[in-house]
Amino acid sequence: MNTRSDSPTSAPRPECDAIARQIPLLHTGALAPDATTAVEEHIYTCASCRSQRTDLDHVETLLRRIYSPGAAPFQPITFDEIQSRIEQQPRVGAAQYAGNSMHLLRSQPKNLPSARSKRSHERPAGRLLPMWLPRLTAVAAVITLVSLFALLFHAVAPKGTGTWAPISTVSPATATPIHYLGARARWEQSAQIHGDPQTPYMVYTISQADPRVMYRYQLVVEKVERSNSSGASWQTVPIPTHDLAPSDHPNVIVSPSPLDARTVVVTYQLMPGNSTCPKGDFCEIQYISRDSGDHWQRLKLPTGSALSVIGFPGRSLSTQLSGSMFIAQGAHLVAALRSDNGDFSGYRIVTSADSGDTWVPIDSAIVARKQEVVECVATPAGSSFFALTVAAGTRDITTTGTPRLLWRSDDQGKHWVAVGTFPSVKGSRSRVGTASTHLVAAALGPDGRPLVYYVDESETAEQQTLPLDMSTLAPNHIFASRDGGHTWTPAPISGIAGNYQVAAAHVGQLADGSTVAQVSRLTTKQVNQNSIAFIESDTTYYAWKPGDAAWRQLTSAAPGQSFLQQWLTPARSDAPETIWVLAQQDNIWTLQRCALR
Amino acid sequence: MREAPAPGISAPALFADALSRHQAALYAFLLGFLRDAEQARDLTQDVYCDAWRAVQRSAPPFSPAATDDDEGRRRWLFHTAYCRAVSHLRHIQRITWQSLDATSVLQQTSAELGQFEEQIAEAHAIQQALAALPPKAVACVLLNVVHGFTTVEIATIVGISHDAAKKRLTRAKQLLRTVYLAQNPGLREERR
Repeated sequence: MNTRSDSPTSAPRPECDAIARQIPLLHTGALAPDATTAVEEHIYTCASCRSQRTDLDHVETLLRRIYSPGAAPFQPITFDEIQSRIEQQPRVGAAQYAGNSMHLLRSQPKNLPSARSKRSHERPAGRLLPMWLPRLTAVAAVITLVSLFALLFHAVAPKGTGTWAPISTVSPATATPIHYLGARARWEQSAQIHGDPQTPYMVYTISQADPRVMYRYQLVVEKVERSNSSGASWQTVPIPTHDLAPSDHPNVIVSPSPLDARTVVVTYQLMPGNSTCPKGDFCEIQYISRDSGDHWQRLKLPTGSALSVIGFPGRSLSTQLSGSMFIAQGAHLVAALRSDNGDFSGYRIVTSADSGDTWVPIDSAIVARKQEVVECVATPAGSSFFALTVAAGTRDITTTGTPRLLWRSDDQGKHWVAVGTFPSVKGSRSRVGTASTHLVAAALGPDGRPLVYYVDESETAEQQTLPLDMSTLAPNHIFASRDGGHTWTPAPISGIAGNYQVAAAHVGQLADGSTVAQVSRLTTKQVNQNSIAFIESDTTYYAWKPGDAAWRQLTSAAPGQSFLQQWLTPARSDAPETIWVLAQQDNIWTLQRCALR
Repeated sequence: MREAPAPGISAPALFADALSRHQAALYAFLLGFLRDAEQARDLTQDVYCDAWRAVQRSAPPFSPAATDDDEGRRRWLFHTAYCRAVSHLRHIQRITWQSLDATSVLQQTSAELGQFEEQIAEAHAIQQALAALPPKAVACVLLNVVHGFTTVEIATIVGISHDAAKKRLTRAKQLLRTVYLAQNPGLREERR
């Protein structure tokens, strides 16, 4: 520790302000020699500035001790590792789409043939998590009934007893129970995928508005294809490139609207050093098309902002990997608006009532309380929102650090009420760096009250006794609340066999408000003396909602040895709720679907 | 002082030299920037992937004309690392700065400092103070204090003007000192 050798700090002198601004620049090459001399001479005679210099020296010494090369353990990188990594990256920038599984894919152990079926602990980063696409389902037909009943309840409810106005609505599910096929629900092939969608990495996305409409694209190649036949045939979609410099090769993300199959948003992510964005810094350019990609126009957003392509940032890994940009609530689109200026200045909840033409923030009441939104879910029907926030300016939302508040709105964001502190669990194992508990969905339950779900991705003592790899959860790590987030109930373990684990906590939700989880049988296999591989098999889908004593099986075992992406599409007039998977079996990729009723 | 490779050396040899000499520093920089050991190693690999592609194109600073520009290669590597890290942070945005790996690194580092509780507390305080800075300010501080880059070089690496680099570095250091002292108020008293 540094020590001072002379008198206590004296009062600052008039010139100290100017000198203090130059002290941090001493010996950085920023000051001319004569300026350096002047500062040094001043410091010699001024105890106040000398104190600052000493403090700074001490801080810098600590920094060098902690962050110098060699201070932290580091396993040297070999040329073989670089080569292996390059082989798995189609182009520069391919791995830069964080939140996507690309960086996970490239870390996959090469000796394991299947991305999802086997995992090894040989490498710290050697896990692959699936691309999950949990999409919210809609029961738009009940909106009128919901609103009417809400008014009725509001008229008779006791006043001033609660912190938020309770929603009391009745969905048709109460009067007419929905019968699902369960294990009798069979899988059928929708289309065969030519080639391996992992090489180069191809992202598929399905329209929640019409599951016959699909898009696929490579992140780093400006080529987007569309299918109107559930993947049977594909045609190229002309996407706008006139705003891009020829030398720019942005990441491309395609996000179809969950409300209208003809509406689609394309996002270009430009990396630092590009020739298009101001100062060549990172930025995103977004276009919207209302005619399936024939014509495009720039998305109308405040200057320097963009809709987050991964939705709300603090969500669970499974939700982030879905790449979903929008939440649908009734006829409204909901999205996360973020500043594009490079600073961490928080997200805003924005909605659009005109299918994406214009966007308005609905979280002003939260912002006024100096909070920033990090997660948000909305009921597909009704008008309830749940949001997690941190104090404005907070950069650390870890479970060990910042408390997160749960907020609720029952009137599409016009009014918000802080419900309380959101549950946090220490010991995140997600390795994606986010907190370990995350909102995953909200839905109207059979009694018309909103349900809200969260998942706990932490590693707990009881989990360590189970054959869990990095990406699976025990079934009881999914929680739900029926009282607006005041109390939470864990999902049961019963209904799912002991050696089966939840591989995807929230694939989507059913019309009765149940959350749907992907469940796989997990076994371990000793690969060699130091490595254990986790093998998934018999992947099946289960559903649960608060009040159910056990999970209920929704499908038979899905065909395939590994699953790259999956979706749950809502019921339509011509099709029931359906689960779709992009599956691999014997090196052949197919799109499989399973109608649930 | 680093030893530059001999003139006339081939591009792949330049790459091998850059790999062996600078990877630990790049990793240390990314670890301080991201505070996630796993991501830091991942991005260090990415930086060298970019470098290898530059080698294959004989692009600067791996071109034959830049054989003896070891400082240029070092700046290029840090610039690429910075861009990759910023890109990573932009995507994950509100990620943790408290991964288990980072914690263990802190503990191990502190242990190496001498197993003294005071040093552990100091290390923790400085890490917390660093976490209070904006990410780009963290980069400037680390580049200058730990890796010895001048403000001119930092401007090149971070992609800002020299004046902006000076301003950012000044503010970052002042803020770091303020936050550290706020967390460690006994420091001044001990000195008196």
